[in-house]
Amino acid sequence: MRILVVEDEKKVARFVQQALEEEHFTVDVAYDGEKGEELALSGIHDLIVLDILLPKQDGIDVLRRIRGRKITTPVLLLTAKSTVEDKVEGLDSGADDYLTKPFAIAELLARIRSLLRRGSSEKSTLLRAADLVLDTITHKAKRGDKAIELTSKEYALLEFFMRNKNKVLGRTIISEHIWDYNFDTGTNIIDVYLNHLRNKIDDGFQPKLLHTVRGVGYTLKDE
Amino acid sequence: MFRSIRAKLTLGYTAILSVTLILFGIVAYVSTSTSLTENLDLSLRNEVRWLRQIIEPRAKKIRPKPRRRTPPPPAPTKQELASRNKKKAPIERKSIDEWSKEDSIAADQIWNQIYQHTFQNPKKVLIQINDRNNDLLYKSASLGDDSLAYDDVPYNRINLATVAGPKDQQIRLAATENEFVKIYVAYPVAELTEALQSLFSIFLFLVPIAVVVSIAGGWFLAKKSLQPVDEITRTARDITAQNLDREIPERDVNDEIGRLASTFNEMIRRLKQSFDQVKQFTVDASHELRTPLTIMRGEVELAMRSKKSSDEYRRILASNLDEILRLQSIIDNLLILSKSDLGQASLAFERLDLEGIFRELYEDAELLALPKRINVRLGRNDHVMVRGDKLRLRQLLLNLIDNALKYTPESGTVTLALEAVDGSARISVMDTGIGIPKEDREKIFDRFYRVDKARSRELGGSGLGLAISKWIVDSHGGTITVESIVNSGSTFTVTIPSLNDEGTPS
Repeated sequence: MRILVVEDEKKVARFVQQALEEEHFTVDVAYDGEKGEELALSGIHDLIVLDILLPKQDGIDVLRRIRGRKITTPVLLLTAKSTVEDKVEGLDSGADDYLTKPFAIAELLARIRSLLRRGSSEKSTLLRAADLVLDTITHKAKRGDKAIELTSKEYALLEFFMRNKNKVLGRTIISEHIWDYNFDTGTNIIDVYLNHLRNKIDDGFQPKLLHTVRGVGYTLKDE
Repeated sequence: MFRSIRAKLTLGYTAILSVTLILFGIVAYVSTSTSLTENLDLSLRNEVRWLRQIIEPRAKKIRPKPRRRTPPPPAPTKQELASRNKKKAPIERKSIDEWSKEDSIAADQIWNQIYQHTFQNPKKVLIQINDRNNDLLYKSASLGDDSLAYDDVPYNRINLATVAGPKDQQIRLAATENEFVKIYVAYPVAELTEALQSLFSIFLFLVPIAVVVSIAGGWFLAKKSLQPVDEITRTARDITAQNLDREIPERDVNDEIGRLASTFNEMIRRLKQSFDQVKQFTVDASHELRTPLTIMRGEVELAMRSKKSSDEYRRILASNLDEILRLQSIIDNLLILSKSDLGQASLAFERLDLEGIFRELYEDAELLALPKRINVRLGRNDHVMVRGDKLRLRQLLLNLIDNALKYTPESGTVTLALEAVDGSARISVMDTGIGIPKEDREKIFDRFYRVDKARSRELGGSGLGLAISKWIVDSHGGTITVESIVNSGSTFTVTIPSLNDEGTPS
């Protein structure tokens, strides 16, 4: 899951990024409205955290422009502006949620999880495929009765696949959602991680869930 | 009911009108009555005089007219006769019987003349002429069978009196006696009284009507002129901080109410303006305070979510300390500004040698400029005395120097100068920094206004420095201006009145 944070206050951007990364999200940060809009228009993010008072271009303007360009990525407004009018204007401009500063990190994360659930048919915080269960709050995975230990990247990969069950996911999409800009697509690191993940969730279990689609990518099958 | 101005006004009008009408009535009644009586008396006197003029030249020819149908005057009592005879005896010269035939013709001419004359007079005039023995000589037809003979007729003088006349009616009687005859002329008082009575009843009828009309008219006028006041009251009652855009409909009339309405509207507008300013200030202030709080809360929560390295904890604590210091500076500055708004910021004015202060600040500036290797130059440093608060003036200059250093890139130049110009001390702080765009120059002295929010915060600005500087300059009776060229530099110029050597404003 890849999240864009548009926040001009560098220290705020920094701790939000850190908190999100600790939750296995991939995070991009923009410090002004113009850069934020540019990144948002790439369409690769699963969610955007957007401040309203931004240099160069107002957050509301960014929001209107990206909605005008048919970008439907969920947007969470994160701002010090707390009047009812501000909230109404923000939500009416196309935001999906609104959180005023100062805020609790736990609440920010809960709202982000909630927004991510909204796009999928899975409304629970538990993601399931056959007897595999992934808890998106505690980040614990279980197959049958057996707990599975996952690294941060493995968790991010598994969550992405479980949210996109039965879809064939190419390496580009996977890298875009799980890795940040420093990722070098020339390496086979995705295949290495997916092999590790497959060993953990499919080894010794039936049916097998994670399949390679030759020449295209991977899919998590849950018939 | 009597608590409304409307009722009071109406009551007042009515009371004044009633008193005026009653006084007017009394005066009119009395003066009419007096002038009627005087007129009557005058015409009675004239009548008597006229009769005398007719009679006197031919008096000797007078003889009694035949007493047609007229009874003799009431016979005087013996006593009366006695007294009269005693008094008048010496002037009695001849008796009626002595009248000659010629006399008789001449007398008839007189009576005829009088008789003719009575036709020209209103019928109510009563005339009777007796000879000195009280024998009737002439009587007007209007008297009929009655007689006007009275006693105590003064000799050669006209006596006027209101007496009981014939048929028990009051008459005004003029009587006189000369050496030949007694003349009585009278007029019924009833005529006069009737006129006065009708005047009285007109007043009795008109006064209440006038009072009722004045109550109604006063009530209506008061209502009409006080209606806008009620409207103002209603509007004023409805106005709260939330709907200060309400206004009283203003009329074009520049009367008291019109002025009240426009004054009231002006007051609302000023209130709205200051409310808006306060609102904006509150929003800005809360935003300024929220940012450090957001950072502190976020970083602390993050630190507590999972175990971190001790370096990470140290970094978070250091960052938190920065934010605490920033909060403290914002709050200190807000306090200064709010005190200045309330007029409670006390400035300790004294005679100051600005030159000395300026040199100290120049040395401070050199130290502050070291990390960025900025070259601080001291231009002119004239000897200028001012009346000012030393602490505040230092704060002002430090703010300007601090800003200049913040926005000047490494190895730039900041030039300070103090000049004595035309009774003022002119301080300028010139930098070779990033400059201020034209559209922002007006606003930089506003609270929390920042040209570049991110940069300002990074440099540790509270957004209040220039607002405070402006307040300090204002409270010293001076001016502060800025000239700037983007990417080339800014010059802040402060001018405050200076003192001459005697310590008086120069």
